[in-house]
Amino acid sequence: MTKPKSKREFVPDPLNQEIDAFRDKEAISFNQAMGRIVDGEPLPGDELVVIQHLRSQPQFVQQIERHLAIDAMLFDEARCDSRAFVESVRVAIEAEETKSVFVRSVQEAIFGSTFGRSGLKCDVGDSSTLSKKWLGHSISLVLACSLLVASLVAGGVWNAAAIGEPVLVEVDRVDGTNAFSVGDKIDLRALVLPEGAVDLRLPSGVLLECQSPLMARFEHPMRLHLSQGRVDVDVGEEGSGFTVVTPVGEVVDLGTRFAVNASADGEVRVAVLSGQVELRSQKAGTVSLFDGEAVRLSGTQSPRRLHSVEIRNHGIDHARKDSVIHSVSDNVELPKTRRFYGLVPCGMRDGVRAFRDRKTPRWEADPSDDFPEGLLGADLIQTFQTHRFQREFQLEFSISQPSRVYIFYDARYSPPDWLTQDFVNTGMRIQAVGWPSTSIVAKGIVPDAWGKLAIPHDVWCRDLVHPASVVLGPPVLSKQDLNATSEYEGVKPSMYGIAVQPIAPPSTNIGKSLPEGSRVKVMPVGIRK
Amino acid sequence: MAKKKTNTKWFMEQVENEQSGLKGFIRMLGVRPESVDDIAQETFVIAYRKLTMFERGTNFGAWLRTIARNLVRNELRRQGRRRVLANDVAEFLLSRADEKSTHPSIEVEKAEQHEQRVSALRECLQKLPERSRKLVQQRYFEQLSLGVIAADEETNANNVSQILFRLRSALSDCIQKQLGNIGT
Repeated sequence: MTKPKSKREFVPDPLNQEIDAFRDKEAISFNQAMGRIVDGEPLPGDELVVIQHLRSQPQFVQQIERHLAIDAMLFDEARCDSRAFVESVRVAIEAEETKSVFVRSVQEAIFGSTFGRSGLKCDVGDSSTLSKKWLGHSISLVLACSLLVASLVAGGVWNAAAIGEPVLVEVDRVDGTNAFSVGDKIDLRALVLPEGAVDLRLPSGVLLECQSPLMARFEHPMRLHLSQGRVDVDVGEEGSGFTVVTPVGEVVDLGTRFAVNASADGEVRVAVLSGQVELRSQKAGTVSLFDGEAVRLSGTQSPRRLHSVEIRNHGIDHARKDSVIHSVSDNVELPKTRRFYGLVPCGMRDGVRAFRDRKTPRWEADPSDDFPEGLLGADLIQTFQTHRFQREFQLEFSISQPSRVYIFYDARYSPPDWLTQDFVNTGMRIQAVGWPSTSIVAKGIVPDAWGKLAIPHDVWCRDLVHPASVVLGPPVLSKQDLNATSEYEGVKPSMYGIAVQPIAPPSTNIGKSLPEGSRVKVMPVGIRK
Repeated sequence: MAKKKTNTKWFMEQVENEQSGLKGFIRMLGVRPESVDDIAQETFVIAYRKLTMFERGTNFGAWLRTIARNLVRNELRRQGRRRVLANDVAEFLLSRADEKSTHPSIEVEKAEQHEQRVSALRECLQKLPERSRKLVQQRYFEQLSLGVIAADEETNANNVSQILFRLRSALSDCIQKQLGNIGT
């Protein structure tokens, strides 16, 4: 008995091949388009190709499901931290369970401190005012809720922990929020701060400076879980061991002042403002960080250097909310270097700390004059003295609005070419005061009547009328100085300082406020737009 | 109060058991990888809130998937729809998931079955050649875009996507084979 021929065998070969080729081509077209969609980077037309195939042929449905399933497993495998997810769900559920405690600060932030206390008495006001109020409340509520959700999405908390306990905190300082009043003593278990800033003193003496938007909760008085936002911690004398738990690791204090900032995208930034901390993360193990060092941590990468950290000092009138300086960086690639530039918004004033790696020198007025008015309230970059030894040193930062950039350059030496080409000497002078007598950089300087050593600095400036990047060079001796005498052998100028003052474009002609005879150069060298 | 604590403990155990499978399910509805955790978490929170409506002894995973489907449906109704890959594809996958859910013969993958698949995946990853492992590392562990990987490999994004496609196919076949071996 002969085997019946299949239908396809009756089709002439050339046509059979054409159909096969067509099917292959179709499959390739689907596979390519589907691959790009699964990868999240489709080309125009990909969706149409895929949906047509999905609707017409079941095998393509299985194909895309197979790829999405593997893709999901790979992403899940890559996370390696299912505990963080589980913990984030736990936090969200706790928030559900303990709404009355958890949301108290949110309610007060949104509705004011009298929320819930006024009973039925209310002053309705006119309807337009009321609707405006509700609009404001709704916006705040949305902000608070998105903060809550965003922080939970960020990955929750790294170390699974028991449900936390309330901690008695005393409010030390309040800025820009109605949720707290100075002197309040509150049993706080969780903190959501949609706006403003608040300083909280714990029973151990630890001071937490919380900046919005922030979400955190206490596990116990010595352990804070930070889901999102920035907390500066000053542990005082009895708070050693205080720990901040973040989605990617723990920061354990070893007697210090430090800052932790957890962002919504899951990255955590840790900076040591004085003393020492220990970082413990799954990715990096245990790492010690010292005064002036900062790192960025994420769930997937080893700790990386964080180039600049914003330092907000109390007592400064922060006329502007945000600094005009962004993205400070340098080309120093020393292995394991983790030093950060201090960025002090509105911080330029008489007596401000000058360098990150020297505690005592301060920028002060020249003895014969007042502190230059134009510098007051400028954003300050605290640089590193040690960088004066880097021959090819470059420092780069960007400004977000029209600004006057000031450089304070060691007045004992001729300025380098990069400075004279792009900047103008204003004729003003300030000094870096407070060098130890053993300091090499202050060699040859005679102490003043109080025994203080001060290095005079000329104030140079240039105006930038558009947002731009600024690149500065090293504090090197000019050829003139190098060729002069052997007096300069082995000697280097002190590291320069930087301040940036925003200017309003229409009212500030860059030449107007400069001393007579000064000129303004607009040169592309060293400036990147 | 004691009952509530017991409920929470039981629920958190379910979160640990079900989270991985639920995330895979959500991804298969066409949700972007970066939004999967987001929707999974919302699913668990809603499930906790409505826990009294869940009948103990029935399939908790299937109940979670119903909530997740509704969340994705809401997402598709929204303006912007940033959390899904491609609207039409996501709608198609969602409607298919709806159909499956009403079909009694199709069972939801149990937590232990999912765990077996994950173990198989781990073994298959070990068998990958060095270059493919590097690509998995770049794409899934470091979450680099196709363009960045392409620049690193001196090729174009389309090629990278095609290599990833073949890689996923190979892993899927390998997992099937592994699970087949377990079954025999």
